[in-house]
Amino acid sequence: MPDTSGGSNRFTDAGLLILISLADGSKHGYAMISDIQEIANVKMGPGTLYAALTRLEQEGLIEAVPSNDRRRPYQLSPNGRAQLRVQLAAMEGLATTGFQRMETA
Amino acid sequence: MKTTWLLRLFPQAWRDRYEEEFRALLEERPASVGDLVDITAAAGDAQIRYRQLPAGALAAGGGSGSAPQPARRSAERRVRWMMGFYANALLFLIVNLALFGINLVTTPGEWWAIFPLWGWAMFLTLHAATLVRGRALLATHLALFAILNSGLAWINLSTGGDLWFQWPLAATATLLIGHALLAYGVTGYLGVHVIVYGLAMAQLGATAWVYPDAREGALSAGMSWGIVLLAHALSRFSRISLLSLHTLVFLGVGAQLLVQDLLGDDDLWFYYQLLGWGVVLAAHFAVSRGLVPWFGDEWEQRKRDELTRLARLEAGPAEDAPDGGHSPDLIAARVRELRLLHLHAFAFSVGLGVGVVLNLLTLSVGPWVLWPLWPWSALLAVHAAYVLSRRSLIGAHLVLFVTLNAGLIAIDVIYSGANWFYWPLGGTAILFLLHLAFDRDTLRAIRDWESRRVAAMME
Repeated sequence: MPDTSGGSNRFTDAGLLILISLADGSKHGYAMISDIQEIANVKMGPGTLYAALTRLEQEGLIEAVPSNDRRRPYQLSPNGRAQLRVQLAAMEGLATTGFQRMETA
Repeated sequence: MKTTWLLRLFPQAWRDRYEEEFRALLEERPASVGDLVDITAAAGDAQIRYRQLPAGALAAGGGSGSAPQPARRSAERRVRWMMGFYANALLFLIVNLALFGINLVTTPGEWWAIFPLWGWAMFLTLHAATLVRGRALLATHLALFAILNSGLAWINLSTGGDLWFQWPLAATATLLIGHALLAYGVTGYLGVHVIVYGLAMAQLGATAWVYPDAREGALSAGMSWGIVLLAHALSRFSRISLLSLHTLVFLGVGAQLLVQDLLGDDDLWFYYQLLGWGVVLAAHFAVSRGLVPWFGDEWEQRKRDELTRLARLEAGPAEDAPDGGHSPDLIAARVRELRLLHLHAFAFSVGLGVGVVLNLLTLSVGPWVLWPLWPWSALLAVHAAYVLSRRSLIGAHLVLFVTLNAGLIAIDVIYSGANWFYWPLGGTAILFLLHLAFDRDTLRAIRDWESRRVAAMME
């Protein structure tokens, strides 16, 4: 059975949305949920959010920011930022190709 | 709706690291029924990935420092789980080819080998479903739907009579549509619930139209489900607790049944259902108010102390002796296993009590309570064997083999005079022996025996 959750070089949808949400600065869980709802119109449940956060943190793509608040903020790690850049560039390239082909068809 | 109790479903290592902030998140935003499913799924995911990690392994700011270890363990677990699936698929091919061979040689006209193939194919699809998520999960659902319904259609068409296979076909198609809408993110849980309800009502309407006798039942089912749907909507837009919601649904459906009963001509019957449900509601109340000991922190602490003391006794007096697998995290995991087993036994005894009382009230129908209780007691026995034998799969399989066949033999003797029980007995015996031959405990015993022999020869 193929693994559909993606290896460490590919993001699941939730993982990618979280990385994009953190791209402009650190956020805690509730802020990420609101932000993702706003930018992608995706209503992410708390379980989905934390499953993805756990995975991203263990893979070293995001890191927790020290805080006295119970709501812990997260930020992109340098590695996470680099990987997000690679992933977005690939998506951009794919989108450009897609648009070009539709125009020539 | 209160959802923090679901945190107990997560493994200890995860809770040590994320519980506090996750609680803060749940307190900050109102949870819906959909969140129950979402959080439970996340707990299952965390159990598969992090269950075997020691406490503190998911340290804050883990990053690259702690990444290799958890990643490796989680990968190992998943590979083992996947190997189980491939073994299942291989066995499926071999056994079914053999059965079709036997079928072809012995009774060429009568294709009985299709039945084990059909049942096993569905089991295999369910097994595959545990390995995938998202749209791949939808694909396994579609496969299960196709296998189930083609089998039912085949049975229906080959035995003739009414075309009854259309009813399960329509019902399972409705579920599949609901799943597809969720998987493609067309709408949320409440939206899917409304759509599934609408489709189901259309089917109930059609059933009632074809079978006038079923009208009253269809109306009753439609109204009860409608009440549940209203409760779902209420939970979506307010912070009502699960217990209050349960009580509201109970009262709503109870009132509906009472009115329906009073309007009918027969004797009053509405309290049969309400009696059974009332006991379940009381159990829910007891659990949520901390009246059931195995849910409380006190029980957990006591059990933990007890197991730690036992582990120390087993390890002997030397203070620096290795703990021999009795580290605090393993003890915590063991306490969780025992709690789950206690809860299962508690639920079973509640079910048993309710079932027996209801059966006593309806003695004229016969001892029907045995039908649900037999598979459930077998399941509980397997669960207990697994936990008490410290996760020996072969031990649990043995108990399953015995309880399953004991039940089948009893049914055969009572209803058909002992003339078919040896078929499932033989089939499940072969499966058990195959498992025994390849079980990791057996293989380890063989390896130990080999090394002892080698050591003996060297002397």
